[in-house]
Amino acid sequence: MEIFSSLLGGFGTLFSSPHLIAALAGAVVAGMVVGALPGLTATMAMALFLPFTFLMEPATGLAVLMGVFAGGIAGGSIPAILLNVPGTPASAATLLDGYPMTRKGRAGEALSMAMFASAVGGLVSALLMSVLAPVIARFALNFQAPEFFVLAIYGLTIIAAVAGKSLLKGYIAGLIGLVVGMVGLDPIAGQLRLTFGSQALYGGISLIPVLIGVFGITQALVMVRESSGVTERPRISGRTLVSADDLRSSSGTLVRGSLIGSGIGAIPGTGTDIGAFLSYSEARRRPKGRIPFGEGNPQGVAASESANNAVVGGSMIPTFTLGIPGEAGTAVLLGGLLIHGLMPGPDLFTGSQSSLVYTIFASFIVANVMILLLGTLAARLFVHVVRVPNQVLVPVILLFCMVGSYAINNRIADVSVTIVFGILGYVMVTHEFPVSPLVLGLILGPMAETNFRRAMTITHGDWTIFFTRPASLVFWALIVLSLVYVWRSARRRRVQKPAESEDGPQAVRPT
Amino acid sequence: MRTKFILAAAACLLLSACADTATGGSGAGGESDFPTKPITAVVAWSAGGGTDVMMRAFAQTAEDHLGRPINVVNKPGSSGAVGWGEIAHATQPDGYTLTMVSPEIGFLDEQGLYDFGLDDFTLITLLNEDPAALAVRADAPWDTFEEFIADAKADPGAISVGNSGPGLAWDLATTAIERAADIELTHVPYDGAASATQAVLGGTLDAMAFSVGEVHPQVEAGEMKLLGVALAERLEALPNVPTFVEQGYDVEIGTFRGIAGPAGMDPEIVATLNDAFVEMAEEDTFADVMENNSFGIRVMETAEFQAFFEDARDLYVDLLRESE
Amino acid sequence: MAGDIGRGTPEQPAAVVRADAAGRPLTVPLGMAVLLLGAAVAIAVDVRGYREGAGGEPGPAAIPILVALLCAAAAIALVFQTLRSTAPPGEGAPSVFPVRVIATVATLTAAGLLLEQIGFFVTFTGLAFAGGLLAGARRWWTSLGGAVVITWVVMIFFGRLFAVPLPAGPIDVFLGG
Repeated sequence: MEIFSSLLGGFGTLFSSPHLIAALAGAVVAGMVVGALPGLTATMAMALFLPFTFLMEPATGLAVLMGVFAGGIAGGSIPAILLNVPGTPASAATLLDGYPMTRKGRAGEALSMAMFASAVGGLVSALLMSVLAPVIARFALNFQAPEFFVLAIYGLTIIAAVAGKSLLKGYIAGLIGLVVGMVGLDPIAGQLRLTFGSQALYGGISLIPVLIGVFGITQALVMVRESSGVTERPRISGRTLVSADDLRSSSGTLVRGSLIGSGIGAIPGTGTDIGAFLSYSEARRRPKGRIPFGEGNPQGVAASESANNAVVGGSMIPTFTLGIPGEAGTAVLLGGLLIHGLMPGPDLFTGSQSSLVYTIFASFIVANVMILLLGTLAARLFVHVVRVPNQVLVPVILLFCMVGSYAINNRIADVSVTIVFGILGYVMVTHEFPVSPLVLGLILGPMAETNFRRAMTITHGDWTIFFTRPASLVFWALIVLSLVYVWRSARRRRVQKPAESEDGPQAVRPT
Repeated sequence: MRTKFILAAAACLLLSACADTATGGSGAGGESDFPTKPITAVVAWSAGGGTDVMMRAFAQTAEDHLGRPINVVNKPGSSGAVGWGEIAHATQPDGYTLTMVSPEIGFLDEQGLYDFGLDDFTLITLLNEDPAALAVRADAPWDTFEEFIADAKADPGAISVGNSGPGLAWDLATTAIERAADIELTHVPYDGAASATQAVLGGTLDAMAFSVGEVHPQVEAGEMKLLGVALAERLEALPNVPTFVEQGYDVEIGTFRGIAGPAGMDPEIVATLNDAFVEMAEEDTFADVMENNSFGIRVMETAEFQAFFEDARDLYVDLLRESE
Repeated sequence: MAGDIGRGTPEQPAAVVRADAAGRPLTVPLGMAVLLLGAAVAIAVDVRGYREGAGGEPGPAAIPILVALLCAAAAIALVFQTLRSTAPPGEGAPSVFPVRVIATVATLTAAGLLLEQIGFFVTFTGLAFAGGLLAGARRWWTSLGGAVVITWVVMIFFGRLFAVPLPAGPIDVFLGG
C-alpha cells in the first residue's frame, strides 16, 4: 500500500539522521519530566519550545513538539501512581487504580503497565492516523454542539463509576464541580455569574489549580495526618515489570482504550482527560480478575493510560487534515506546522510536503516506543519514591503544588484556588466524599451547558435536535446502558452489604 | 539539526551577554540612555495563542534593535483583565514594562469586564491588522455577499454566524455586517476559531465572522470560501476575495495588535521605542513569522496609532451599544 | 488498603458525641449539607440579575437554577442519610483534624498570603521546613537544610529553565532567582 511505503520512507529519513533521533529522545524525556510535575503541562512546554523550532529543520522541530506532547501525557502518570497526584489532567483517571496498586506494594507493576499502555495507545492512534486520517476527520465532523452536549451528559454518568462507597456522596461531589464550573463569564450570553464582584473570578475557576488542590494538597494533608500515628510504609514487591498474566487479561482493555482514545482525540473540543475517564468507565463495565476496580486493578491503569496517549495521536487527525486543533496541545502543534509553511488539509498527505508529514508520523511512532523503553527504565528508578519517608515527601509535594499552581498563569489567585480546594478535598476524602466526581463535574459541566445553549441558539429553541442526529442517539443509548448498570450494581451492593461491612473501613485517599 | 539548534541557542546567549555590556540604545537612535536594562513584555493571554506567538516573534527581533533583551511573560486570565490590568494600574511608566494591546482594551470596560480603558495606556507602535472576513462552507448556496443578503432578508434570523464570544470583536463584526446590509443574523458564540470552523465544516453553522488568518488554511484547502473582507482594499494574499466596501457595504472592522505601555510614559522614551520597533518590523525574521501565521503586517507610528485606535474604539463602542 | 484508619492521632480523640458508623463525627457531613444549601441560596440570589436568553436559548439562569435545585435536594438527602446511619462513636475514633493538619493548613494559608510580600525563597523555605516538621521530621536542622536546598532547586528549575516570573524578594535576586 502506498501509505505504508510513505511511512517506511518516513522511518528511513528518521533513522538516517542520528540528530533527529537524539532530539526526539531529548524531547520525550523533557516531556516526561514536565508532565510529571503538577502545574507544568505538556502544552506549556510545547509553547515555550515553539520559538526554538523557528531555528530548526521542519522535521526536527515538529518531531520535537510531538515528542514533548506524547512524553508529557505519559509522564503525568508517574506522580499519579506513586503519590496520588496527577501530573496532568490526563492522569486524573490513572490514579483511581494506580495509587491503590502502590499502596499494595505494586508500584513498579503499575508504572510499567502505565508506560506499556501509553505506548500501545500512542501506537494504535498513530497507525489509525497514518492510514485513515482523512476518513476519520470527515466522520468526526458529524460531532457538533448537540453531540457534545450528549457526550458530556454521558460523561457525567461516569460519576457513578468513580463514586466509591456512597453514590449520594459521589453525586454531591459532582454537583460541587458543576457549581464551580459555572463561576465566571458565561460563554453564550456574556453574563457574569457567581463572581460576586471579584474580578479575579471573571475568567472562572480553571481546572488545573483545582486538580492540584484536590489531589496534591489533599494528599499532603492526608500524609501529615498519617504521620500523627505510627506509619507503616507500603512495601515494594520484587516486581518492577507488569506480569504476563496482567498483560494478557488487560489486552482487551488496552485495545478498547486505544480505540476510545483515538476516537475522542479525533473530535475537536474534547481532550486527554475526557478520553481517559470514558475508557476507565468502559473498562469497569467488564470486570476481570480478582481485584475490584478502584482497589488496585491493573486494568484501570491500562484503560486510562492507553486512552490518554491515544487521544494525542487522534487529535492530530483534525489538526493535519482540517486545520482544526482539538485542544491546547495540538493548537501549539498547528502553530508549529504553520511556522514551517505546512498548510493543513487533505493535500498535506499527498502533496509535495507528504514526505515531511510521514517523517512526523514516524517520529510519533518512535516517540511512543521510546516512552516504553525510557519509561520502563525510569519506573525502576522512580519506584523508590515509595520508600521516601513522609517528612521528605510532604514538603516536596507542598512546594511543587504551590509553585505549579502559580506557574500555570503566573498569578497568586490560582495559588489561592489550589489552597482552598486542597482543604475542601481533605475534608471530603476524610468523609468518603470522592473528589474525582468534582473534577468530572468541572470538566463536563461547562461543556454540557455551553453546547446545549449553543445548539438551542442555532435551532431557535428546538430541542428535538438532541434526538434526531445519529451520533447523539448512540450516546443516548450509552447513557441508558450506563444508568441501568449503575442501578443494577447499586442493587447488588445492597444485597451484599452485610458481607461488605466486615472488610473494615476504607483507607483515606483522594479518588 | 540538533547541533544547529544548540548553535543558535548559544548565539542567542552570546548576543544577550554582549547586549548586557554594550552601551545602551545602540540601534535605537534615541538621544537618551534608555534602555539600560532588560525589558519585560507582558502577554495578557496564554502561551501558544495568537498574541503570544506574535509577541515572541516581536521580542526575538526587537532585541537587536534595542540592544537589550526582551523577556516575554504570560499573565493570562479573565479575558485579558489580569495582564492588562497590571499594566494599567500597577506598572511604572518607565518603558521597561510593555505589553501587546488589541481592540479589547478600548471597549471591554463598557461591559464592566475591565476596570481600565484606552486612556490607561501609552500607545507606541501598531504592528498588525487583521480584517474580519465572512466565511462559509465551500458548497454553501451563496457565492457572493449579495446572495447571502438576499437569503438573510427572505428569512430574518435564519442564517447563523459564529463568533468568538458575546460582546467580543467578532461578535461586533457580525453586528457591523448586519447594520451595513440591514439584515438580521443569529449570533452563535464559540470557544474560538477552531470550534467555529468545526461547526461550519460540519454543517450546523452557516457562516463565521473571524479574522482572515484564522480561516486561511481552510480557504487554501478549498473547504471554505470567503464572501467578503472587511477592509478598504483587497488583501494582497487573497486578490480574488472582494471587500465589503467594493460591494457597496461600508464594513471596515477587524482586530489589530500593537505595542503599548502604561499611561504617562516619557515622550522621548516612546520615540526611542517607536523608532526601534518600526525598524524591527522590516526584518525578514519578523515578517516570516507573521506571514506563516497569516498575520497581516500593518505598521503605524505613535501619533497615527493613537488616532487609529480612538476611531476603532468609537466604532466598537457604538456597535456594542447597538447590539444591547 | 484496609486498616489505614487506625493511623489517626491517638492524642486527639474525637470530641464529638454523635458519629457515623465508622466513628467519624457528624459535623462534616452536616457541614457539607449546609455548604450545598449555601450554594443553592447563592445561586438563587445571583440569578435574579441575569439577562434573558436570546433567540430561543434558555439563557444564563436556566442551568444554574437546575443545579441549585439539585444542590438543595442533595443536601436534604445527605442530612437524612447521615442521621439514619448514626451509631455510637467507635473505640478510639480518629480525629479528622489533628493539630498537625490544622497547623499545615495554617502554614499553607500564610504562605499564600506572604508569597508576594516577602518573596519566593523565604516563603517556600518556610513552607517546606514547616511541612517537614509537621510530617514528623525528628531533627529540625535536617528539615531546614532540606527545605533550603529543595526551594533553591525549584527556584532555579522553574524560574530559570521555565522562565516562570516567581515573586521575588531581595534575597531571591541574590540567589539567582
